[in-house]
Amino acid sequence: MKHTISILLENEFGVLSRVAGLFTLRGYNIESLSVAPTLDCSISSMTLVTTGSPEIIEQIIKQLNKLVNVIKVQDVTSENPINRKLALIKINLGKRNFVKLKSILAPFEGKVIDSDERCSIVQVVNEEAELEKLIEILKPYGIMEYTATGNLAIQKGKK
Amino acid sequence: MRLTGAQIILDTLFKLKLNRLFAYDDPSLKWLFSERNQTDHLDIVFAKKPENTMMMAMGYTRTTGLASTVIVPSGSGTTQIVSGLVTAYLDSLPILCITGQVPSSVLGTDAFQETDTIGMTQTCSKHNFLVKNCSELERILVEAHHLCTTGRPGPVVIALPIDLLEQLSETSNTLPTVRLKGYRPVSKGHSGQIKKALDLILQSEKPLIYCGGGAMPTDDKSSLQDFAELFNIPLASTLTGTSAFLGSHPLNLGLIGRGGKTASNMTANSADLVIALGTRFNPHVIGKFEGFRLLSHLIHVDVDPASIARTNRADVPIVGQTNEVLQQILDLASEKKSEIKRFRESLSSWHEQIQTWRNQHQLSSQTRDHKIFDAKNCIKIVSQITENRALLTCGHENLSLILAKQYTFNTPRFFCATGGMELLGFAINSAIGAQLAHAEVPVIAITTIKHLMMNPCELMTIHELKLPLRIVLLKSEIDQENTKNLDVEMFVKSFGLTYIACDQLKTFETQFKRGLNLKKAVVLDCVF
Repeated sequence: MKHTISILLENEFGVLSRVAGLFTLRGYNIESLSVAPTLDCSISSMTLVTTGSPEIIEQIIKQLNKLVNVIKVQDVTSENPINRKLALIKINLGKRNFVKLKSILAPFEGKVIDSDERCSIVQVVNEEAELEKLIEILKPYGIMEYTATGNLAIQKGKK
Repeated sequence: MRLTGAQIILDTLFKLKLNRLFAYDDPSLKWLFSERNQTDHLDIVFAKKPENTMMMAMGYTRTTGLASTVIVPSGSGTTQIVSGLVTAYLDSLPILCITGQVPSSVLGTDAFQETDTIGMTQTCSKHNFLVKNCSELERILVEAHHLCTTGRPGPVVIALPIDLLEQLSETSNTLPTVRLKGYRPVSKGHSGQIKKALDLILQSEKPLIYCGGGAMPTDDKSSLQDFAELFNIPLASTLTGTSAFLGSHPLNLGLIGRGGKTASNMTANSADLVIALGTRFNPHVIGKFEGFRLLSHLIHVDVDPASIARTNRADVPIVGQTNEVLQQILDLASEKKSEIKRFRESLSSWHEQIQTWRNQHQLSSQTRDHKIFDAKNCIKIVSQITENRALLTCGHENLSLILAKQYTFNTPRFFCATGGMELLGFAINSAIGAQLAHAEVPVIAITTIKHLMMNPCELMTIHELKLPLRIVLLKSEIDQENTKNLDVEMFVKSFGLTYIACDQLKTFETQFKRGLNLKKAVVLDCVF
């Protein structure tokens, strides 16, 4: 089962490699990872998606907590957080197809951010499931390049 | 005051009471060791091989509970201490390792002797640091010491580019404070869990205490003994937990698990409640126990939350220092005196059953041959002659098990063996650290000629430091094959040590007594 884990860590040299190293050492799987400094630049926020049984997830969280540079670890999967991914897609449709492309993207909150004669670059910010649907729709037109961030999660309400 | 990096290190180590150093001297570290007057206030022992500094430090730390320091140069000096680090990490030993690194200007350029110390030691140390600037040296040392000695103790590595040793920096008289935001170790157990644990204990009919290395008494307090005696619960220990509880105590069943005592294992199989204290539940030890797997109830106390319920579900997990948690239970129990009295009396049939298992073992051991010249009989004689007051070290896996069973350890920490990994040369090297810590105690290193041959260089150190160590070489047929061409007498004497040979059990007693009475280091070679 997929779990989204939200981690607050000290923004210090080598911390990211420690977290990654933990996973490789114990054979846990990282599906996606996203990390950047928070408003307090000495602290970074990391969102990690991993799969495993409840016992494995419990061990992962305990091992993460053990790292000296980790401040807080939370498994936010069950809290029903807001999940978003950012994807940049280069598609084989030129300027002439701008209107058509726009109508395909509209229900997915995507927009065209660049286009020339031959191809356009699309930016979409949405949940993973919605992104997958959009990709299926866009495939027949020819996806030339695709790059996306890891999942970002934030809990609703006051905690 | 402006001081060089080297002086800052030496002064800070002294202020942190990390003044017991085991180092390997090397030209790259000359700034640290060349001006001898700077190091008068520190006790430094130089090993003949970087690998052995770790083992000496482990011997010192394991037998005192105090942190020690290791200093090795870059390159193979650093890679050689990795085996020691893995073991120290698994065995939770507080050792601060300062490893030299290439100068900051060439870091990352695949320079001569450059190693990725941080990457390499990431998984075998509690934490590690790379010093970038002389000004952060003091803070790093203070933080490293804090990490080493609090929570679950463990080795900490500081990679130090050697150009920083001569760099000057401002220092103040007071040590900087620790500011590790993400590190908040817990020492007191949660009061709700303590109450649950007490209730569970009082409901049980066949309880057993299973104690590991984490149950070692701190300072002079032994809440473990008070706890076991108050509730009248029998106790079994792992290899690293041996000597945490009085060896000759009637409640002590001895070593449990693979190679353990019959009574311990039988008890573990039938227990309905296991109280696990300061142990990581090594599957090697308890893997085969049905009793542990299908356990009715388990109380697991450990200072490391990740060790709890890793292999077995705990009914009552308690995160905290074993001694403190036991004291909390004792304090709560003082309000339930009559219940506890009834509980103690209700265990009489359990104790009777355990006694029959002990008697079974006595009978079967009597049928064994006590006249063969083998390891078991030798250790029995050692135990009698030293009146169970000596400190024993052993790095050999099977011999450690024999030692733990045949010798009765009545002083905490007087059994120095490795739990994490078998280290070659551990018996002798850790004996050096142990003897330095306990100058008046007879320290006996039990090993085999095979292991001695693999790592003998510290015999020279023993001779130079005039340490009165007793090294007993027990042999087996396998060793005979490997070492039949070795003239052991010449080998030992070449290091300046006294050599005594023994080829019969009858003469072993006299020879061993003779060895004990010599005021200098002696190797007693038992040719079986």
